[in-house]
Amino acid sequence: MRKLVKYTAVLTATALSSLMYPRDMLVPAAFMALVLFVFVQLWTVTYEQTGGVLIAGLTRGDLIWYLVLTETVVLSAPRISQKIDEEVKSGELALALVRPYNYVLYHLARYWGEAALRLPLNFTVGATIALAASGPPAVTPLSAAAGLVALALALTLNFAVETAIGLAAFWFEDTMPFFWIYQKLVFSLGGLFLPLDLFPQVLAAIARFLPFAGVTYAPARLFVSFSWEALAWLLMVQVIWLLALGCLMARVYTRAVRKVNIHGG
Amino acid sequence: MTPVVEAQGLRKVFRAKEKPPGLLGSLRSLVRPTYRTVEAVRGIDFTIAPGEMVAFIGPNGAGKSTTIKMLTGILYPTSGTARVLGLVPWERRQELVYRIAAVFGQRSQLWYHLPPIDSFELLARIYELDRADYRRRLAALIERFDIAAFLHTPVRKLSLGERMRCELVGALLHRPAVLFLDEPTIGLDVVARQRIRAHLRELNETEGTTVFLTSHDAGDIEQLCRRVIVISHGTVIFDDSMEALKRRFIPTKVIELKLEESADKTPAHTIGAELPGVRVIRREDYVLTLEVETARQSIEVVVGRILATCRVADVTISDPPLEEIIAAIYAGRGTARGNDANGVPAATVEPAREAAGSLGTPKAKEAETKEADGGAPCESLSSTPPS
Amino acid sequence: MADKLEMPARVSCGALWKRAVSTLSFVSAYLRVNLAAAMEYRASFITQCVGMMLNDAIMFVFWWLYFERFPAVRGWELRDVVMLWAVVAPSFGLAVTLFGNGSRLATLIVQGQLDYYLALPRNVLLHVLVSRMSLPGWGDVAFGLAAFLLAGRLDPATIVLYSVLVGASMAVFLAFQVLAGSLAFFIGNAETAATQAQNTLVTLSLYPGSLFRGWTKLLLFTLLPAAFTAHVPVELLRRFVPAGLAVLLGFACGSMALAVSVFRLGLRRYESGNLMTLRG
Repeated sequence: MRKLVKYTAVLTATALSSLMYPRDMLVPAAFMALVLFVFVQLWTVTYEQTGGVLIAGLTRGDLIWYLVLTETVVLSAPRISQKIDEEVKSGELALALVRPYNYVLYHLARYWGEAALRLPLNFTVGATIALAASGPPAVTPLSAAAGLVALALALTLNFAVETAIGLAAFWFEDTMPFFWIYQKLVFSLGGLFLPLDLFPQVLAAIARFLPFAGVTYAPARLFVSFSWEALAWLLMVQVIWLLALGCLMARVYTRAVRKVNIHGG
Repeated sequence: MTPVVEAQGLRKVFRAKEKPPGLLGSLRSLVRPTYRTVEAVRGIDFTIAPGEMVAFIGPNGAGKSTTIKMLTGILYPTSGTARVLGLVPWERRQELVYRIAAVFGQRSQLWYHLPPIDSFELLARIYELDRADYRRRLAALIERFDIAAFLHTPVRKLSLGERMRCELVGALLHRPAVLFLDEPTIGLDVVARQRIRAHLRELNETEGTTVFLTSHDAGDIEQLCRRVIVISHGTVIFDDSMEALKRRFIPTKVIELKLEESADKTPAHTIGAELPGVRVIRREDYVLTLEVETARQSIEVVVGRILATCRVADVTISDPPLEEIIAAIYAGRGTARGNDANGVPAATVEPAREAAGSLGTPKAKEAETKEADGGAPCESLSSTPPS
Repeated sequence: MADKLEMPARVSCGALWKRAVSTLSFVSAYLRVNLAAAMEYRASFITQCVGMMLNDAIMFVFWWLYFERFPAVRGWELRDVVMLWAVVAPSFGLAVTLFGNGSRLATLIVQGQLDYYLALPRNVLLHVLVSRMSLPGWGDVAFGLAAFLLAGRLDPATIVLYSVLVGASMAVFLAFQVLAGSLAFFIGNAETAATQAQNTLVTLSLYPGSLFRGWTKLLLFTLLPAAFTAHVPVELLRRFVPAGLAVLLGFACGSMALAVSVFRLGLRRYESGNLMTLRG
């Protein structure tokens, strides 16, 4: 129990510390506003031209709220791969071994500490615009709950990947390319702007299996247009990938520590 | 008395990949890498008793940080053993970390944007301290290190000296038995440095915390540590008291005289020629500085002769600055001038001596009167007799 | 001496020409130096460029997927979006590579780093701008050129028009950067605002102009000139109208002139030491 207290304390301290630098949080929020603004135009025009109310079972409002959710995830997830990369290079990771906490869990706590502040801010900004543009989302308590769960899983999944990337600094001079590739894959195959439902069949089929969809598509889709099949499938994808990537990350971490133990970092 | 730190035959060999320059080179090294071995630590032995304050010094690349990493469990040795508080560091690190503390002068454990008190609260939870005990401990440390005034000020607004004191408080909350300090006074002004040293001495006296200090600052070493371990090229080349260090490596004393007549006019400057073992370092206007090899010539004789032959306004007798001594060691003058009392050449590694485990007061007094930084001589006639 | 009195007009033309040549060689010298520095870390340079191209390609993927499903966005089709990227990516890329300090102007001002340039004999604004090169920008340039090739309209007339349009677009970008950065002369801590403004312009430039109507459209023709960096050039490539080109070029020159004068005004303020409190 004391262990949980330990990491909760880290989480709170991170949140408090982030509050001291509000400007860093306003920038993503501003970007959210801009992107939403542009896409409201796009979807309005699109629906006008097709003349219909539904496209692949989604209304214009759905698509707008979908974007609010995906952008919330992407803008609220703290960028830790670079931080870990720096800590590896500077030897701070080695130093952290002299402290009585687990390095990965410590960073997970910090990650959530920061995300806990950014999530409500970004969502509020996005939601305000979406409300103004197309009214409230077609959300039920069930879909909201599912969305939240998926959101938590999505962010944790993202953490696992970014941590593994950051730890790769032990073996690679520059981990930024890995991060970029991952990020771009989330943007494209994860359905950042366009839900997988609007993808061409084949691509959609592939993307549904990949972890990237678990980061953005899953929480957004469940929130916007809930269905039991979607829930089952998406949660399963998320959990499986989380376990897989979590294991990968754990293995990378163990090997990294071994590297420190043998080479001093 | 069970030793707090024991190191036996610690060896560490690194295999570093060679990185050839250029794009082609990088590609080649990816396919067929070449390695070179670096023996960073070549067999280190020492024992540290509880309550000792030991300086661990050596030039960069000598194997200092490698040794410390092995002692704190971060690094596995290639061969040899060590025990800290009875535990093998790299095997029982998770346990050991609750009983030691490491403070690095340049890396802070405190959260930059939050006041120190928040960091302390966090540390209390990280180290799983009992609430009541933590509060008592914190109060005692706040008073000892005198940080009450800025306990609630964000760390980024504190001066370096204030930050360091908070850093130390944070490190001591969990009552570590061993404190590893790396460059604790780096970047601090003279006053702040003295304060930190005073706090650390007090700590050691009242709580018996063993301190393992790495520093390039001669003042830190001189004022805090009775025992010095010098490491160079991966081995211990000296392990003895501060006194022995000075005596062995540069067995000289410096006498600075302020005369009431021009140095050129007095017979003082001929002393160098008259007395063996005396060398004139500086002769300008009213200042005359002599260097005396204590093995060849007695200080009393020199001073007596000077006082008899010239009008002296002020006399100061001091040890050569520690920097010079350390520089001499680094430069490999381990075979210095002079042998030890038995005429044995100084190059042999001295066996670890079991120090008295407390701060001898004569040493402390000497430390107080000296401003060792820059080797500036002390004021007026507070000449300290050679110990 | 005598000829100077007799033919002042010719001398001043000659002097002007000399200055132009000297300025050009000064700029190209910086270009060479910056490139050489980049080549020192070739692998890193390449990865940064490739990364940037990937970045750009992602938006492409989106548009490709979109146009698979929907025919057009009020008249803009996939090939128009390709052209959009073909214009905006190189123009923006060239702006940040050749004039790399444009995006950092506010920071330089706030940190008092203009002092260095003031003490040297060259035009301050130009010197500041060319003294840095942002490497990933070359990735944008490469991507944009690739997009142009993809669009497939490779007749000489189009190529010439394309080059002019890219140049004009770059000028508008630069002018905007300078104006945004110069805010720091007047309102102090303007770094975040300047950066946000630039990002906003870039973002808006990368979406079809047909998306925007009414007040937004007005905005895009004035304060956030995405119309001139992106939409008008693409329209001109779709259907060339000489008047359109004239307006674009006029706006480009006008905005550059404005930027230079605002910068000069701000510089005078800087020199007078009114910004002392911000410096060091």
